[in-house]
Amino acid sequence: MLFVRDLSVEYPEIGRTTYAVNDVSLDVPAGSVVGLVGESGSGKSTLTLAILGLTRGRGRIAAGNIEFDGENLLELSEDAWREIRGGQIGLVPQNPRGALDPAERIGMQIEEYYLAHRDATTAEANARALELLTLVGINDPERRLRAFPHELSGGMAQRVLIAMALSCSPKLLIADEPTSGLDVTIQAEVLDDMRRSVEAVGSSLLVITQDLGIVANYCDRVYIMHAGEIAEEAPVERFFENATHPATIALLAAQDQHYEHERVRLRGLPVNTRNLPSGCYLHRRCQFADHAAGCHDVRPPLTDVLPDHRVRCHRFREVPELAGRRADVGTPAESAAPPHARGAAPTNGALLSVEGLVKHFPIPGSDAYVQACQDVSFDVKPGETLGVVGESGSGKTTLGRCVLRLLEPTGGRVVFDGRDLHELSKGELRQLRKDMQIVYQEPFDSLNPLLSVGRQIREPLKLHSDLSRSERRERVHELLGLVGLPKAVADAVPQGLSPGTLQRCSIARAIAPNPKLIVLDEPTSALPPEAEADIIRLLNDLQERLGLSYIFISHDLALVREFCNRVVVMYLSQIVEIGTQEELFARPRHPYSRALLASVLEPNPRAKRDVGARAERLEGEIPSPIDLPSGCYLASRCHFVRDRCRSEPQELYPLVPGHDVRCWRVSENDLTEAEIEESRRRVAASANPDAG
Amino acid sequence: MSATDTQPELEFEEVLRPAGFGARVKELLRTSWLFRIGLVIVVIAVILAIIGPYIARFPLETATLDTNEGPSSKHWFGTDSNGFDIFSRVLAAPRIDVSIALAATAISLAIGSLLGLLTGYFRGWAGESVMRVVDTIQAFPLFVLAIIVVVMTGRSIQNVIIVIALLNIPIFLRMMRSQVLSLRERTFVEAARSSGSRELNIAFGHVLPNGLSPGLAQAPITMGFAILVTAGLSFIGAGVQPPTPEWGAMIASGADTIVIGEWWTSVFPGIAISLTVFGFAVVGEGLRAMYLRQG
Repeated sequence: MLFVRDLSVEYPEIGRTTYAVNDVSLDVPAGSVVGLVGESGSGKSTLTLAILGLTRGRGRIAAGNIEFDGENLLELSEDAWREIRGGQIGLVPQNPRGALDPAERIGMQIEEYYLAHRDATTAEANARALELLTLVGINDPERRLRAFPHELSGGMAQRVLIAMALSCSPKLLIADEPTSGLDVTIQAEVLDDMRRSVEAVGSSLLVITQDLGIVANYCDRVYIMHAGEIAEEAPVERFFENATHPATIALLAAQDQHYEHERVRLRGLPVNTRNLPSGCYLHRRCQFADHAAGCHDVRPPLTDVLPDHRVRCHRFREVPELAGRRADVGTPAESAAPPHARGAAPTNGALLSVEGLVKHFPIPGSDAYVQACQDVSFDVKPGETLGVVGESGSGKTTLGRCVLRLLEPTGGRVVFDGRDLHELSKGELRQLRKDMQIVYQEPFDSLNPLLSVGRQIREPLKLHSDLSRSERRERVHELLGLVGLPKAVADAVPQGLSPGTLQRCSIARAIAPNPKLIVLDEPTSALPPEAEADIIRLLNDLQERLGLSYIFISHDLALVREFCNRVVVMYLSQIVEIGTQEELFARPRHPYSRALLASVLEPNPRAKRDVGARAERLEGEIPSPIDLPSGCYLASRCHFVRDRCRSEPQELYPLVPGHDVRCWRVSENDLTEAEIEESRRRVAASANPDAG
Repeated sequence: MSATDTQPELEFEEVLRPAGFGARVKELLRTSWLFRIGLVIVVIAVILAIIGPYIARFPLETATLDTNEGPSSKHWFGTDSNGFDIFSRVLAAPRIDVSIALAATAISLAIGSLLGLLTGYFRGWAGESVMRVVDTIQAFPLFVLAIIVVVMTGRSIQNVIIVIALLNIPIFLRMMRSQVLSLRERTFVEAARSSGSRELNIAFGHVLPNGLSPGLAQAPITMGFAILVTAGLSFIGAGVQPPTPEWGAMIASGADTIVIGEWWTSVFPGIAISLTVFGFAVVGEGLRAMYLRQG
């Protein structure tokens, strides 16, 4: 179908040229799903744009050719290009909201797209649009056709774009990070629907992503890009089990907690394609670079390991051996269980206890309010990590702020270290702040852009300790050392540091006053996968050394499983389930928790999400937090709903000590495994016809 | 390039320093010829404000018998009805004009930014009242307001400074306030709060420095405007009085004779004002564009 051969794209500039894509060969055979993986700046987008004939600005294709459906695209006229673009090759862009025209109904936008390539009447286009919206899994498609983009959720907007790209039944669909802005549950649904629609239309699919879970679950073949070149390509199973390129191994080590070569890392920032080094482009970042092997002088060719597995590395035969196995490092006991799930957390008195916390945000000019937290109660014990998971809008971030009294709760009590935070004076609260700290989601926004990092880490020291100036400086260096940064970072301002480094600085600031509790508000969600793994390791390490307690707020279930002792699942301002990490991940009871867990995409092609797991998916849309249902908040989306659910507000019922569920059917043993099995079978049966 | 190859391997990314203010101004000088011209004019104006009166070749405020002479090799810009040498007085006038403008701008920048910070950060009835007063000031035609205030308080240099400062406070106040309103929602502000910092320290230590750039970029434009107002007030007799060398007053003194062909008395100070205001405006625009580009 699509054959890219030795393609190079460069951006000539006076003095120096950027070599964005170098000798890339990539095949997308008919009917296959191919994954293209790479860090930001690795040339993925430039390659995509080149395939679409949209190379930007001064960029030019320096060598190679692109063959699509038997034609050499590079020899086409602009008119012929236009016909192919959209007609034969569809693109699903990354940012669904930005890609739709906010002032036009989505039905019109799909029709326009269709009419640009097809000689059809408006009525035909309209029928096609309706058919497409149904195909991509949008409820109530007639009504949605007349909707404006702002009326759609992110997941729906992404589906509309998929519908648009598929409108002319293209032979190839390119999806550029199609779900990077979506919640986990929505992500899995959108991908399922996309794959199903692509199969129905008979297209091939090229998925660009950084998420190996998506690769493992949806792709047949994987290409990994670095510095504008293909570092390794392999069928998906070989990719996950027999990767030989150091960059691939590093990527797998960062995203897969069970990966055998867990200690492999790429150093530093992505290679600057303006100034490509001699030899292997990655030799400065690679821990296996070796003069004798020629890594510093000779650019390695793309070599066949097997007929369908190619790698661009001089030492590919030795690397898997050099990378070391999981068993070689650390003790077996440690590596068998996730590092923090071992043993029960200490049980002596709670460090923090939250009782019946309520937070409403009034809507100005009306009596209505947004209900962000409702009747939230939990404890955090010293040395423990409590995970708080939920989709965006579930109230988890608000909860974190209320616990620290950075927001004033509407009701309820927060007792920290034996003191009720709401009985403290402002001064006492300021004093107490040294014991409870927070690390934020956005690394760039959480540090003052004008002040040096050192000064910002010194600030809490100045407030809460009587160290002298030079002692404070000393302590800042010590703290930077603790978070794995060189002293020189103290003098740097935030601009120009990588997100991972900035997040380390934020952590250094948080641990500076020797706190007892740190609220971690999605500390890794803005980071690339490699940095994410490093930050989690660092947080684990600090907890052990300093005896910290964490409240870990996240939407990433894989991280929560790895990192937390106990887990709180939030849905629409309420806790729907609370339990130990082992209980909750092995036997989730609440239908919402089940759906959440079923949506996880494991980075393992042998543990794909099956049809049965898809049966757990929730229907419909999240209700508005301004106008909540009177009964169970999940009633409108739940497979197992009964009349009682719609009318009766749900309490948090204890199941066993320490495991509570907000669902009467679970607590009264009304919801049986048999019923769940039956539901799974039903969905599997209904999914089968269109899978075949 | 070979230097980077021999560099030791970096465990961490190089600690990049963003382009500082100096480097950014240099870049601006390199790319914009208009900014270069503006900067030359501003520098000359400031130098004259310092040394202008000392380089005068003729006494500045002593009448001579050489009245109403046209430009000649002795009196380059001619003389006026009192026999003052116009060239000397044009060079000496920045002492008054630029100083008044500088003082007025500095005062309005300081007070405006301070009020903008306080009204933006601590929102409440006090801040709202300040905003309404500001609305009132801005609702008046500025020049008329200036005349009224100066006439009421007396014609002195101090009063001219105060009036011009008062007129410009709303501009800086609004600029700072709009910055603060968005800065106060930034995460680093909450981070400082969660470290236990006092609100006042957060406002002055974290918010103020981050909100200053637009005001600072506006300052040269305000300077130019202030020079214009100073000259205007003096022209109508409400500001600096003759025989003090001042451009507006000099134009006024020549206004009667320009119809009978003695143009030099008014035209040369007029050109001086235009050039100076133009210079400050161009520099201000350049800085503002720079701020908008790079934040």
